[in-house]
Amino acid sequence: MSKKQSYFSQNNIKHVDYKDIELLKKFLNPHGRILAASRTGMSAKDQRKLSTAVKYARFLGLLPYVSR
Amino acid sequence: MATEQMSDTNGKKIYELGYLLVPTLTEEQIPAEVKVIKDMLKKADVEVISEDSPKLISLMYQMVHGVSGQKKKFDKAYFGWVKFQGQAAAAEFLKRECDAYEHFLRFMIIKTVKDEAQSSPRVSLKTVVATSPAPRIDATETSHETEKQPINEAELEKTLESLVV
Repeated sequence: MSKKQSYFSQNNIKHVDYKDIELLKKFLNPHGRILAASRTGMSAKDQRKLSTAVKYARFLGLLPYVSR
Repeated sequence: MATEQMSDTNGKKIYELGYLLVPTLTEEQIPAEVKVIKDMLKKADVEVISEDSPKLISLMYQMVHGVSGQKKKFDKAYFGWVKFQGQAAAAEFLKRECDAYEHFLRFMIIKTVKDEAQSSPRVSLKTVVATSPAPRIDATETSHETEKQPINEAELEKTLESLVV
Protein backbone atom coordinates (compact mmCIF):
# COMPACT_ATOMS: atom_id res chain seq x y z
CA MET A 1 0.00 0.00 0.00
CA SER A 2 1.43 3.38 -0.95
CA LYS A 3 1.82 5.99 1.77
CA LYS A 4 -0.42 9.06 1.51
CA GLN A 5 1.64 12.11 0.50
CA SER A 6 0.85 15.52 1.92
CA TYR A 7 1.28 18.81 0.04
CA PHE A 8 4.29 19.76 2.16
CA SER A 9 6.17 16.51 1.62
CA GLN A 10 5.36 16.53 -2.10
CA ASN A 11 6.76 20.03 -2.51
CA ASN A 12 9.61 19.51 -0.02
CA ILE A 13 8.40 22.32 2.27
CA LYS A 14 10.18 22.07 5.62
CA HIS A 15 9.27 25.46 7.04
CA VAL A 16 5.85 27.05 6.66
CA ASP A 17 6.04 30.82 6.40
CA TYR A 18 3.17 32.82 7.88
CA LYS A 19 3.66 35.46 5.15
CA ASP A 20 2.98 32.94 2.40
CA ILE A 21 -0.75 33.55 2.44
CA GLU A 22 -1.38 32.01 -0.98
CA LEU A 23 -0.08 28.71 0.35
CA LEU A 24 -1.99 28.98 3.63
CA LYS A 25 -5.24 29.83 1.87
CA LYS A 26 -5.15 26.39 0.24
CA PHE A 27 -5.78 24.88 3.64
CA LEU A 28 -8.66 27.12 4.72
CA ASN A 29 -12.33 26.52 4.05
CA PRO A 30 -14.60 29.33 2.74
CA HIS A 31 -15.31 30.35 6.34
CA GLY A 32 -11.60 30.86 7.00
CA ARG A 33 -11.26 27.80 9.20
CA ILE A 34 -8.26 25.48 9.01
CA LEU A 35 -9.02 22.19 7.27
CA ALA A 36 -8.76 19.05 9.38
CA ALA A 37 -5.72 16.81 9.09
CA SER A 38 -7.95 14.16 7.55
CA ARG A 39 -8.68 16.59 4.69
CA THR A 40 -5.17 17.95 4.27
CA GLY A 41 -3.56 14.49 4.55
CA MET A 42 -0.74 15.92 6.63
CA SER A 43 1.23 14.34 9.41
CA ALA A 44 0.54 15.67 12.91
CA LYS A 45 3.82 17.59 12.80
CA ASP A 46 3.05 19.28 9.49
CA GLN A 47 -0.52 20.02 10.54
CA ARG A 48 0.83 21.77 13.65
CA LYS A 49 3.22 23.82 11.50
CA LEU A 50 0.33 24.78 9.25
CA SER A 51 -1.99 25.79 12.07
CA THR A 52 0.75 27.83 13.78
CA ALA A 53 1.51 29.70 10.53
CA VAL A 54 -2.20 30.39 9.95
CA LYS A 55 -2.54 31.73 13.50
CA TYR A 56 0.45 34.05 13.07
CA ALA A 57 -1.01 35.32 9.78
CA ARG A 58 -4.39 35.88 11.43
CA PHE A 59 -2.81 37.85 14.26
CA LEU A 60 -1.16 40.24 11.81
CA GLY A 61 -4.34 40.64 9.77
CA LEU A 62 -3.00 38.78 6.73
CA LEU A 63 -5.72 36.15 7.02
CA PRO A 64 -9.20 36.46 8.48
CA TYR A 65 -10.35 34.80 11.69
CA VAL A 66 -13.80 34.38 10.16
CA SER A 67 -15.12 35.13 6.71
CA ARG A 68 -18.57 35.05 5.06
CA MET B 1 15.63 19.17 13.17
CA ALA B 2 13.95 22.55 13.13
CA THR B 3 15.25 23.45 16.57
CA GLU B 4 18.82 22.83 15.41
CA GLN B 5 18.31 25.18 12.46
CA MET B 6 16.87 27.85 14.70
CA SER B 7 19.96 28.13 16.88
CA ASP B 8 23.70 27.96 16.44
CA THR B 9 26.49 26.94 18.83
CA ASN B 10 26.58 30.31 20.64
CA GLY B 11 23.01 29.88 21.82
CA LYS B 12 21.92 32.50 19.34
CA LYS B 13 18.58 31.89 17.76
CA ILE B 14 16.89 33.11 14.63
CA TYR B 15 13.87 35.33 15.28
CA GLU B 16 11.54 37.30 13.12
CA LEU B 17 9.88 40.56 14.02
CA GLY B 18 6.68 41.02 12.05
CA TYR B 19 4.95 44.35 12.54
CA LEU B 20 2.12 46.57 11.42
CA LEU B 21 2.63 50.32 11.45
CA VAL B 22 -0.36 52.63 11.85
CA PRO B 23 -1.76 53.84 8.49
CA THR B 24 -1.89 57.43 9.74
CA LEU B 25 1.77 57.65 8.73
CA THR B 26 2.52 58.84 5.22
CA GLU B 27 4.71 57.00 2.72
CA GLU B 28 7.39 59.64 3.23
CA GLN B 29 7.51 58.90 6.97
CA ILE B 30 8.13 55.18 6.46
CA PRO B 31 11.93 55.34 5.92
CA ALA B 32 12.22 57.22 9.23
CA GLU B 33 10.13 54.52 10.93
CA VAL B 34 12.36 51.81 9.47
CA LYS B 35 15.35 53.66 10.88
CA VAL B 36 13.74 53.70 14.34
CA ILE B 37 13.17 49.93 14.12
CA LYS B 38 16.76 49.38 13.00
CA ASP B 39 17.97 51.46 15.93
CA MET B 40 15.92 49.26 18.26
CA LEU B 41 17.57 46.17 16.78
CA LYS B 42 20.98 47.74 17.11
CA LYS B 43 20.25 48.60 20.74
CA ALA B 44 19.19 45.02 21.36
CA ASP B 45 22.54 43.88 19.90
CA VAL B 46 21.20 41.51 17.28
CA GLU B 47 22.40 40.68 13.80
CA VAL B 48 19.90 41.41 11.02
CA ILE B 49 19.71 38.58 8.48
CA SER B 50 17.03 39.80 6.11
CA GLU B 51 14.20 42.30 6.04
CA ASP B 52 11.41 43.73 3.98
CA SER B 53 10.35 47.35 4.03
CA PRO B 54 6.84 48.16 5.24
CA LYS B 55 4.15 48.15 2.58
CA LEU B 56 0.58 49.35 2.87
CA ILE B 57 -1.81 46.41 2.93
CA SER B 58 -5.52 45.96 3.48
CA LEU B 59 -6.11 44.11 6.71
CA MET B 60 -8.45 41.13 6.71
CA TYR B 61 -10.30 42.54 9.72
CA GLN B 62 -10.47 45.83 11.56
CA MET B 63 -7.95 46.39 14.32
CA VAL B 64 -8.51 48.68 17.26
CA HIS B 65 -5.60 50.76 18.46
CA GLY B 66 -5.42 53.43 21.12
CA VAL B 67 -4.07 56.71 19.78
CA SER B 68 -3.59 59.49 22.36
CA GLY B 69 -6.22 58.09 24.70
CA GLN B 70 -8.74 57.45 21.94
CA LYS B 71 -9.50 54.09 20.39
CA LYS B 72 -9.40 54.05 16.62
CA LYS B 73 -10.29 51.37 14.11
CA PHE B 74 -7.93 50.63 11.24
CA ASP B 75 -8.51 48.49 8.18
CA LYS B 76 -5.16 49.24 6.55
CA ALA B 77 -1.60 49.14 7.85
CA TYR B 78 2.02 49.09 6.77
CA PHE B 79 3.26 45.53 7.05
CA GLY B 80 7.00 44.84 7.36
CA TRP B 81 9.30 42.22 8.83
CA VAL B 82 12.89 41.75 9.97
CA LYS B 83 14.69 38.46 10.46
CA PHE B 84 17.49 38.58 12.98
CA GLN B 85 19.85 36.42 15.01
CA GLY B 86 20.49 36.98 18.68
CA GLN B 87 20.28 35.75 22.23
CA ALA B 88 16.92 35.09 23.88
CA ALA B 89 17.54 38.00 26.26
CA ALA B 90 18.02 40.32 23.27
CA ALA B 91 14.68 39.23 21.85
CA GLU B 92 13.07 39.93 25.20
CA PHE B 93 14.67 43.37 25.32
CA LEU B 94 13.42 44.05 21.79
CA LYS B 95 9.91 43.04 22.84
CA ARG B 96 9.92 45.61 25.62
CA GLU B 97 11.18 48.27 23.18
CA CYS B 98 8.45 47.39 20.70
CA ASP B 99 5.81 47.47 23.45
CA ALA B 100 6.74 51.06 24.17
CA TYR B 101 6.74 52.13 20.52
CA GLU B 102 3.44 53.85 19.75
CA HIS B 103 3.55 53.61 15.95
CA PHE B 104 3.19 49.85 16.04
CA LEU B 105 -0.40 48.84 15.46
CA ARG B 106 0.64 45.27 16.22
CA PHE B 107 3.86 43.25 16.27
CA MET B 108 5.09 39.77 17.06
CA ILE B 109 8.47 38.17 17.60
CA ILE B 110 8.63 34.53 16.59
CA LYS B 111 11.29 31.87 16.28
CA THR B 112 12.03 30.98 12.69
CA VAL B 113 14.62 29.39 10.40
CA LYS B 114 17.52 31.08 8.66
CA ASP B 115 17.31 29.47 5.27
CA GLU B 116 14.79 31.21 3.08
CA ALA B 117 15.03 28.47 0.48
CA GLN B 118 13.35 26.04 2.85
CA SER B 119 10.08 27.85 2.60
CA SER B 120 8.00 27.73 -0.52
CA PRO B 121 8.19 30.62 -3.00
CA ARG B 122 6.11 33.48 -1.72
CA VAL B 123 3.69 35.67 -3.55
CA SER B 124 3.94 39.25 -2.41
CA LEU B 125 0.99 40.55 -0.42
CA LYS B 126 0.62 43.71 -2.41
CA THR B 127 2.49 43.29 -5.62
CA VAL B 128 1.36 40.91 -8.27
CA VAL B 129 4.15 39.22 -10.12
CA ALA B 130 3.70 39.88 -13.82
CA THR B 131 4.52 36.71 -15.62
CA SER B 132 5.02 36.63 -19.33
CA PRO B 133 2.53 34.46 -21.22
CA ALA B 134 3.65 30.93 -21.72
CA PRO B 135 5.35 30.47 -25.08
CA ARG B 136 3.07 28.85 -27.58
CA ILE B 137 4.17 25.48 -28.75
CA ASP B 138 3.91 25.22 -32.45
CA ALA B 139 2.32 21.89 -33.32
CA THR B 140 4.00 21.68 -36.69
CA GLU B 141 7.40 22.38 -35.14
CA THR B 142 7.10 19.63 -32.54
CA SER B 143 5.87 17.10 -35.04
CA HIS B 144 8.82 17.96 -37.21
CA GLU B 145 11.20 17.29 -34.35
CA THR B 146 9.72 13.91 -33.62
CA GLU B 147 10.03 12.93 -37.24
CA LYS B 148 13.74 13.63 -37.13
CA GLN B 149 14.42 10.97 -34.51
CA PRO B 150 14.62 7.47 -35.94
CA ILE B 151 12.53 4.89 -34.12
CA ASN B 152 14.52 1.98 -32.85
CA GLU B 153 12.17 -1.00 -32.98
CA ALA B 154 14.17 -3.15 -30.61
CA GLU B 155 14.18 -0.39 -28.00
CA LEU B 156 10.48 0.22 -28.48
CA GLU B 157 9.69 -3.43 -27.90
CA LYS B 158 11.84 -3.48 -24.79
CA THR B 159 9.99 -0.52 -23.25
CA LEU B 160 6.62 -2.01 -24.18
CA GLU B 161 7.57 -5.25 -22.47
CA SER B 162 8.65 -3.44 -19.33
CA LEU B 163 5.33 -1.60 -19.31
CA VAL B 164 3.33 -4.81 -19.67
CA VAL B 165 5.24 -6.52 -16.88
